[in-house]
Amino acid sequence: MPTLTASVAFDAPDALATLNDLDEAALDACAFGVIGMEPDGTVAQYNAFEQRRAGMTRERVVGRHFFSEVAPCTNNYLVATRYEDEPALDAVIPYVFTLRMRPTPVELRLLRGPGAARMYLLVRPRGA
Amino acid sequence: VSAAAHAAPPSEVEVVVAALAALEREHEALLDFIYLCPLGILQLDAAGTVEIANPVASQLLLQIAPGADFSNFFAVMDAVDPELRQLADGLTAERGTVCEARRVDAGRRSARAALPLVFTVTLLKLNPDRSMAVLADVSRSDAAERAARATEERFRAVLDGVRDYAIFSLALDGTIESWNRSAERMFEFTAEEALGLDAVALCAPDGTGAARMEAMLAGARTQGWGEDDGWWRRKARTRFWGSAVLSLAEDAEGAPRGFTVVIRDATRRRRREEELEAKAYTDALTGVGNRRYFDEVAPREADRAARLRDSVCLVTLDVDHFKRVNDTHGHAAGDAVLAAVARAVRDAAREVDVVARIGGEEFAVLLPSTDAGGARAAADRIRLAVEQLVVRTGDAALRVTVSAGVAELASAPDDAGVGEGIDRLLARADAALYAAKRRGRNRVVVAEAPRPGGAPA
Repeated sequence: MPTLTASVAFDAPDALATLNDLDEAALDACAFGVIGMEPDGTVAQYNAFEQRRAGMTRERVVGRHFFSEVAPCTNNYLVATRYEDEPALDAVIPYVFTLRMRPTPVELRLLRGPGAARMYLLVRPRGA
Repeated sequence: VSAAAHAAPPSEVEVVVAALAALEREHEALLDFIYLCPLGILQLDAAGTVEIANPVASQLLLQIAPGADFSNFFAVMDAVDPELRQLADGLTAERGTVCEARRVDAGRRSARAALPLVFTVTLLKLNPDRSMAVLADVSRSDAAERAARATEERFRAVLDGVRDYAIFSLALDGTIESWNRSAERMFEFTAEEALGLDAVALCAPDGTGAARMEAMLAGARTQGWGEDDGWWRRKARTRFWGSAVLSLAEDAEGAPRGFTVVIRDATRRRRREEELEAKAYTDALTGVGNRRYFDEVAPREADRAARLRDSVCLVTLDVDHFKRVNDTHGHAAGDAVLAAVARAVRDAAREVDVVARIGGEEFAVLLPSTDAGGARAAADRIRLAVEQLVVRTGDAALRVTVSAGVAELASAPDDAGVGEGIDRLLARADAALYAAKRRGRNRVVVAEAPRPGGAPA
């Protein structure tokens, strides 16, 4: 039974641990995009915010490899390479995503921990 | 036909909802398609404002202007390709191509970037208010190309820059198939002159080129490589001493495709060796080889000939009535005669022939790749040259003659399966020489071929 109070802020220090415990409904309640990935990069979670932002349904995205099959524009040294290289990764970087085909400045939070099963990518529109 | 036929017709709302759902699915598929497109695609207005950009385009522009606003395409591109804006402004026609796959070297944009960023821009003006730009990241292929170019340049520098080596290739028939600067430098033939030439033409013109080349090719065919140390010729007919290795080149299926030849100019090393050896192996009086030289070189040459089934001949020469010269005119006159005869022999012989003084007034000439007929002709040339000599010593002008015996190394092994060897060859040549003496001197006698297993004639 999901607890209605369970939530996480974009820049919460313990975001990685909290995200691991949140269920789908709690993730959908987040006011930023949450992409949960298996250690191999396969998308496991894709929250409601991210579905709206990207215009893609969860059904289309889950099970695909994120960096090569969903968002190849992140398959670079700024994003994908850091997940590969840094076993303990927690970094916020400015980035640009496309929102309805328009470049939109966003902030990305890259999360990966040695103890955590999943890696997370959080997406928050900049200036929002 | 189906259950639908019996159901109530869908309401207007249901039709619209279904149509919207279909549109949504199509829209999502289209987005997915554009997200995954490996090229950056942009739509720009007249001023260059980015109206539409796919993720790859955004990501590329982000690398050029990290964190900065890149709402205007030209403003972003100013940092790496300021000319692009001018090109676009320069196109005054209503529509047309501003540039096609224009290469932009953006350099290494971050310390984390593995490669310098290189991309191409295609900019198409659709009408005065609308342009499309296509960006393609070619960093990876560009880096690969540069690496390949660098390797090639390094290789060419090695080939061209090292004066002491020549590397070229031959077709299976031994004609020159490729020729480069290193070979040009060593042999002085241009590619135009060298291509298609039989490689024998590169050997010193001493008559042994064909046999040397055949031995090398045979070695390469049977064991994969063949080698040769010998004199080669430059275009200007000067010669150099080169160590050559010839290896078999195979195609992808392993079938012989030709030969690769590497020659090292070892003239200087050769000269040093020669200088060192010269004293030990030279007859001080005449300047030709001494007996020790003959004893070392001749058996090697006989072995080589036997191994390659090449012919080799030995000519022995003896100055006629030499004792009389010594007795009448003194030892100094005798020495002058020997020196003059040696010079005549040396001059008449080919470069490759082994000339040595093997006795008091006896000389030997070993002629590789020569049959009995050729050796007889060579011996006769020497005989005639000596006959023409006038040796001035003190107040006397001396004339001498030589007698010569010629023997060709027996190619067939004897009953014991042993090749003839230099000792028996020398014995047969000497026997022929004494036959020439007996028949009146100043003549050449060719030894009969030895009877298999029998004693020399």
